[in-house]
Amino acid sequence: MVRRAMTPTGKKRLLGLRALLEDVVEHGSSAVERVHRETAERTFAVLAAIPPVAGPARVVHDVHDAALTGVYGSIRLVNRAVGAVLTVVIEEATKPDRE
Amino acid sequence: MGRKIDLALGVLNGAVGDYLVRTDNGLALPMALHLHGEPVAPTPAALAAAYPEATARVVVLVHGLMNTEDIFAMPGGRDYGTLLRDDLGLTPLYVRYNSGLPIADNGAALSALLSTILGVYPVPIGEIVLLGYSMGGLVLRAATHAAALSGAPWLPRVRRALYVGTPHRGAPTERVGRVVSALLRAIPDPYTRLIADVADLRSDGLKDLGDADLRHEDRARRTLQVTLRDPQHPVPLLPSISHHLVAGALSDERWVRTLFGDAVVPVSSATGWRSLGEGLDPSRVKVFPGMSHAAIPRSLDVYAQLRQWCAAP
Repeated sequence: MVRRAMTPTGKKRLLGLRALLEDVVEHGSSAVERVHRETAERTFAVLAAIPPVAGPARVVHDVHDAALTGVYGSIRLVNRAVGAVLTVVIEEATKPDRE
Repeated sequence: MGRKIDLALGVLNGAVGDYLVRTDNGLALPMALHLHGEPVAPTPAALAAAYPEATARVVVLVHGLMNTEDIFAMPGGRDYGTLLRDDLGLTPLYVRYNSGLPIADNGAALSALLSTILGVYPVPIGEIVLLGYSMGGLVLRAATHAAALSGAPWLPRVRRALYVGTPHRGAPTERVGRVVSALLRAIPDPYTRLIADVADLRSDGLKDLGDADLRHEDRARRTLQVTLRDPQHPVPLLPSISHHLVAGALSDERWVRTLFGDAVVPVSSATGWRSLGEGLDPSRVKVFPGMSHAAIPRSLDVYAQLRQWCAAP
């Protein structure tokens, strides 16, 4: 049995959809990370102005920022990995195969 | 299924089509003639196969923002193109394009496409009628502007242009959106700036609609002020073409016409030449009360007027 191959336009569009979804996650996570960071900055700025808690707050601030970078960075990393896998899957799935 | 995908791609391209082109995304629609939803290559063989009964008079139909040529479809498979073919012998050529690109770019691309078609069309083209809906009318004007500058061979064959619900003086909704976006960005809050960022993702084509910017230099001059354009804008109507304007209005009430027009384009924008000193013969301007922006590209009443204009010598 010969399966009908997807047209070049159909395949191009499928790859385009994959790329667009990846872009949405990439840019979306970066935007949310920026908002998250700027919002947290305000709180830490208030704490930094209070001498008894300024020291510990600085430590918590550094830990928070590191966690933030790690979490959002891992989201983007997984997103790119999924995108790469999907590209391979689409390439393979759109090849005409014979049984 | 294919039709639904085409409609979805039309919307997507209108929203972020410029981004799709910048990122070389396969979802970006290239400008091309379409017939029954399929692209028609601008080659002698493809055009001869697609238009076996091609006539020397053609009508070029250009859709609006976030549409495809499907926007012209009426019940029963008719549209302005097929009706003009049956009644007056015009061959309809439907253009599909990425409405998210700058209007100037689409105009230049359309001019180039028409130049190509002129050379490979099955029979010698005697007359080209231009018919644009909403943004499509601005694309047509940008195309004639580009053609006039480059001396394109198709332009002398254009005797009449029909603009249906075209915002010649811009669309207020986009201008309001521009101001709201700027206000949100001015507030020193990360959440409002995020909303402004999302709002500013809208395409260049959509932004061009605000002031009906037909040239790149018009886009560069864009300001936040909600004012009418300076005297140099819009691009003047070519005197060699007979221009005909159709506008819709939700009702015949003066205040409704003034404020809302057809719900998207104010009547003053769709027919606004007189206020810009470009007086048109009143017989070439028609306002349809009770006609919304969605209804105006597929109305038998509007068609009757278009037919009359096309039938005139």
